[in-house]
Amino acid sequence: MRIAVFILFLVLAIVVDTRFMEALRIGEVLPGIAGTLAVFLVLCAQRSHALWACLAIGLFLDFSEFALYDGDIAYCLVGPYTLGFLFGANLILPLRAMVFSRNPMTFGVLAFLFMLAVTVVYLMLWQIRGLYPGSPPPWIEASILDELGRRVLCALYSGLVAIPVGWFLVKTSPLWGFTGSVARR
Amino acid sequence: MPRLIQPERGLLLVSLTVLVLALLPTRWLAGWTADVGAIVALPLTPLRHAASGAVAWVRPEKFTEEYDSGTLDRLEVERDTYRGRWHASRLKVEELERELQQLQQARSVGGETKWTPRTAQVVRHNPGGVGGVLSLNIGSRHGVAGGTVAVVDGDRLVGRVADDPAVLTSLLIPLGAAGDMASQGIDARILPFDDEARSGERQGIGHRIILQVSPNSNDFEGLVERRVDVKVNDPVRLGMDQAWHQTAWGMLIGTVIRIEMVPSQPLRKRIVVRRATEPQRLVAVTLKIEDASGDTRAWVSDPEDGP
Repeated sequence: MRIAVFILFLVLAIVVDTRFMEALRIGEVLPGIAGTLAVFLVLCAQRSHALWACLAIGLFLDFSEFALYDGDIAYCLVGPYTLGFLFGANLILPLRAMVFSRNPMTFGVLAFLFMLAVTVVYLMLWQIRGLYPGSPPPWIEASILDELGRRVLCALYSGLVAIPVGWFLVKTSPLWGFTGSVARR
Repeated sequence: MPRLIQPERGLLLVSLTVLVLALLPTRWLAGWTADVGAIVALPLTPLRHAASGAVAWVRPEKFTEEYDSGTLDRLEVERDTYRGRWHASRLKVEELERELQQLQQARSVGGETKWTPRTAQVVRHNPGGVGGVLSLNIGSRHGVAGGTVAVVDGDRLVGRVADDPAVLTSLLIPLGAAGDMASQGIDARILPFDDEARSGERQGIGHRIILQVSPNSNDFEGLVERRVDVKVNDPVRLGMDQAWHQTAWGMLIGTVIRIEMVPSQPLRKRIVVRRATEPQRLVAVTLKIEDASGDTRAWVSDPEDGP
């Protein structure tokens, strides 16, 4: 896998997820494409490359999300997305032998499942941190179940967006320099 | 030659490190993580700025009048200036009247503060989140400081800048953001809608209400005495709340959307207020940058003066 190509797509995904997706907002539901990029890498790259790439995507997302400590001090929490993306990648990896990685519908379904896995880890970590003094989670929903419901809808929306994005990523696969049998399936 | 650390083992070590970081006390993370976040954001800001433009292109803001952009900018600055000064002045007048009535020694309340409007682009929101902290593309080099107030449309309060802004970027805490202490117990005023529509004459300053974030929505709510005359669509403005800079006083928080009786408190009624802005959807905000000279006269730069 070519690192330069990965960095280029990583930057694009982070920028789109942290700004452009506002244009596609429906109510309080926003899609994301970082999960689709992660699914693409899990399906096409070598196992270790895919895991490191997912860790990098999650780390960038963590450093793009700010929460408040003691009311007015902004900080980034390293972990919710990083560990969530690693968890999601480990869930998708066993499935890659069973799916057609060039089919855009595969991306739709797997991106939805992947984002659900990310959501579980994200909410769990923030719920634990909610017990720390002065560190409320960065969502405004009244309860974690409300936020879970919203994020499930976000995952569903991300799955829909993943169909065209996945198609585009498959078209770019010659640029990535993937090797091995996984890339050809 | 065998590798010192196998990739799988390295990944495990990094994952464990991240897990430890995720569980560290927040005060240990509060300083350096925001700095790393700012460094990560630095190369991405130009692209995010472009993405902001794309958002505005996909979902344009609607204007009813057709002006050229220069005229529109000048009119917006003027409107920002005079609306803000007008409402701040009304609050100051109220304060002075109360002091006169109580025969106390007059004291300055600083309702008029020297400030300069500056437009800032919103370049980041939390991924997949609502109600979180936003990033702006200007920072301390442009005079932005912790607590600097952000508005849109002249007097619609958006939020305030978090402490210790970076040199080129800053973090905006929207009104009602998760964990924002200044959004807890907001000292606000409900103004009669008719008074709001009229201008240029002495108006009342409305009824005081303490607003809290509504638990199941993005709205605010508060209690007032039942005898208080409040109607749906009445505007609600920030009072002289000490948690906010003086430049925020008098700015519009939202409008009353619902009035409910409270069975447990028969002498009071609950007022639900819908926020005037949706911060995540904004492409740009106006920052009211206070002058550091200590001059307390109200002053705003005139765009026609030029450099």
